[in-house]
Amino acid sequence: MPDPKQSENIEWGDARTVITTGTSDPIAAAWYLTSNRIWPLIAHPVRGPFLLGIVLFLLIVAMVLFSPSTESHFIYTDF
Amino acid sequence: MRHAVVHARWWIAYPVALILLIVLDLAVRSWTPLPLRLPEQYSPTYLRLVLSDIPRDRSTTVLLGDSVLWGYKLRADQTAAAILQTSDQSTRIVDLAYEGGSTVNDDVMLRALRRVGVRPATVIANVNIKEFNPGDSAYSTLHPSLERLSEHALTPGDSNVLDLHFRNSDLNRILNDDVESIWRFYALRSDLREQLFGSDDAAGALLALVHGVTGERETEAALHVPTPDRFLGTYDLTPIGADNVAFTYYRSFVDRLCRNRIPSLLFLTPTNHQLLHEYIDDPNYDANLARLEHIPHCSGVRILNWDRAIPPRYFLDNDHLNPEGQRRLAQLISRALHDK
Amino acid sequence: MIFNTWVFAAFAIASLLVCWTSPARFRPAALIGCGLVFYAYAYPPYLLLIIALAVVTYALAKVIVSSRRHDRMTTARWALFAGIAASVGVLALFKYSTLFATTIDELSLGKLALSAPHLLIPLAISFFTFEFVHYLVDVYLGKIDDFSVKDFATFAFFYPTLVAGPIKRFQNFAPQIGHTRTLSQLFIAANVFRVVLGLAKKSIIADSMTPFVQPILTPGAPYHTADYWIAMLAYTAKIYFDFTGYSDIAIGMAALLGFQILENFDRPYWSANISQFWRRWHISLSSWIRDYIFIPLGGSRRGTLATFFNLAFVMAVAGLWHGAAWHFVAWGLWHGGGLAAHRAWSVTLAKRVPFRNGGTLVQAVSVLVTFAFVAFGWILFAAPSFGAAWGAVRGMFTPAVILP
Repeated sequence: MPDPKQSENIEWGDARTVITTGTSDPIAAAWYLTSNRIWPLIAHPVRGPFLLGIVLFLLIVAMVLFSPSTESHFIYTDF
Repeated sequence: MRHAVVHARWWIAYPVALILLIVLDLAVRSWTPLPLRLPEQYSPTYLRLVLSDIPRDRSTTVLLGDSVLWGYKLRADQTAAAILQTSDQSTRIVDLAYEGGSTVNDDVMLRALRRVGVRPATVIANVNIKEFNPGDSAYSTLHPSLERLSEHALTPGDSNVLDLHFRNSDLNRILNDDVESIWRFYALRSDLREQLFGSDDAAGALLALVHGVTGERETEAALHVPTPDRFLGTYDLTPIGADNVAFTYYRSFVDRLCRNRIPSLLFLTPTNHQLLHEYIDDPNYDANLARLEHIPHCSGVRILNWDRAIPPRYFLDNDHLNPEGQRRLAQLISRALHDK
Repeated sequence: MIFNTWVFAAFAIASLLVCWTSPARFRPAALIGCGLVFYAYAYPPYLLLIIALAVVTYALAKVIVSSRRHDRMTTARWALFAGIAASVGVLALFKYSTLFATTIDELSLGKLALSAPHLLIPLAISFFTFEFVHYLVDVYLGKIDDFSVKDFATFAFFYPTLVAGPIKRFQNFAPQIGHTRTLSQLFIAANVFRVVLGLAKKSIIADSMTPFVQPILTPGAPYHTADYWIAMLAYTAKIYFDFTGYSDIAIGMAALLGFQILENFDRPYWSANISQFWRRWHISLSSWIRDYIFIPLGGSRRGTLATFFNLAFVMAVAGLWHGAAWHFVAWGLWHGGGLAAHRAWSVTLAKRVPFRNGGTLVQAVSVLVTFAFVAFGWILFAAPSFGAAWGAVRGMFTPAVILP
């Protein structure tokens, strides 16, 4: 439930956000709306596991490609 | 997140991820680019692939050496190796030179080649006198990946004399090697990154981009103009003796070429005498050159003194050549090969 | 054992197998064994240290419980002080003796040249001493009165949180020890994903920021003004992703072992004021400091000036806890000053301004101001010295290359 004090001065557009998201805090509302679009995808009993598997794969590939080099280097200083 | 994902069946999700990783690995195994020269920070796996790719039938000319032959600050197609390959398509040329290469590395690389059964038709190597300076960082070191690949070819004598990166195996390194032996994509990560980003990690490439925008790249470049004062101490005029580690490995390298009857062309690296005049226009420098040139060797190995062979205007700095310089070097090599 | 290494991966898999194939009654022992192996891997001799300190803490906790039951509060109090002294003393010896010695030396202009022993700092000492102190205090206050050596040892040597937190509370942790869970209840998919995400945050983002931070570490040529600003933002990102990545791995691994650990971060850079930031950043540490230092000092109950002092003091302690150097204390004081300023603002001016109930613009400005305050504070944290920090700040506001 939104804090009554917080909803005193909000505009109609914000009020709709409050009704949808339960908060007039725009950042919290944005988080709720974004996450609410993602969770149904992941929570789907068929699509969800495949999506999670793909995301795991992409994370692992990204870690291999984008992590800083930790191998021993031979740094030759020409001058 | 936890409430939603609890329905994501992990016995589907993980196999999906695993299958995708296997498919990617198979793709990497079937297509591993082997460009004209080694990446700057090549991996042991990449080197092993390059060596395995060389035909066993004595039809390949192998280049060994340092950044001069590798083509420091030049594109791969501007190097002497690329020019030689373009002009003579009948012989395959493999450039195994790299920045930080030296006669120490050449000797161990030759051992690695012999271990995989490769006997080059010809070996061409540059011998850079600055690497015989005990203060040079290539004096007694191996490229880490060459060291890892050649672990079994190194003797206790090598361990005593060389500054090895991997003296003691630790558990993490052993596990890392095990993972690399199974997972090709992971094993080739530094090479793939260099292909993708032009640097051995994405952060380095991004940093270079940022420095290009902030102006630091220009400042850095301005601080690194090759003026004579930057080469104070680069060239050691002390007589090169039997206790010199680089000289020991140079002798070993020449002996190995002779023992294996590999026709070879070794040349003393062209040097920019105009820039380095105050350091190397000295009888001691020429005496050292003579020691390197006249080291005992068999008739199949030719050692040529090209220290003054290329005019100063074809240099980027003390020893690295510009594109025209590399063309001249290629001409010298080609002429020498035909003159034998 | 660093989390993003193959050794840890092998250890984690082995520990999960060991713990989940053990009969339920032996699971705590398996967990304790894994924790001891984990700790010993770093530097085996210090395993004795953490075991000794745990034994002392447990024994004194038993003395406190027994004394409370027999209404011998003086004995209980002495046992509490002894336990806190032991933990804090060990921490001070290993982590702060060099700082103490060099500071005395500098203040006395070299006349009192104290020599501190060169000791390797034991792994996780800052974290386990705080957990042991919490445990003793809560036993003394009667918040913990039913515990076994098995419960305490499982709590003390729980490896996922041993190195970098979150700092656990015994009351949250211990009831879960005997609780048998099935695999499906572990939210395996979510928590393995969380561990992988934590690794990704650390290895892809946090570690990649390291080269960008260099201007703060070594200010001077050839860095330009923009480099210092980028360094500040890079460190702000680095520390967030590094720490939250570690927390994700710790919480994910804990969950896979059957334990729910409290969250440690809650979008801290979105905070609208510094007070909110410290309720969202390293929550386990800030709540520990609130409960065991700020409140015992009187908190905000003894007037405005006392509140300001308490805020500054606890944040200075927080800074010192992070690192044995005075620039960390300065960082703590920076935040203490911010908290005091926010407190002053809240009780005075904030009530009089017309936009106090917020709106998107006000919220956005609040978040930006808070973010900027925190980001600037990180310069003090990241720089190796006051000189380096000052050099970096100067570099940020001087439109030229600073030559050494």
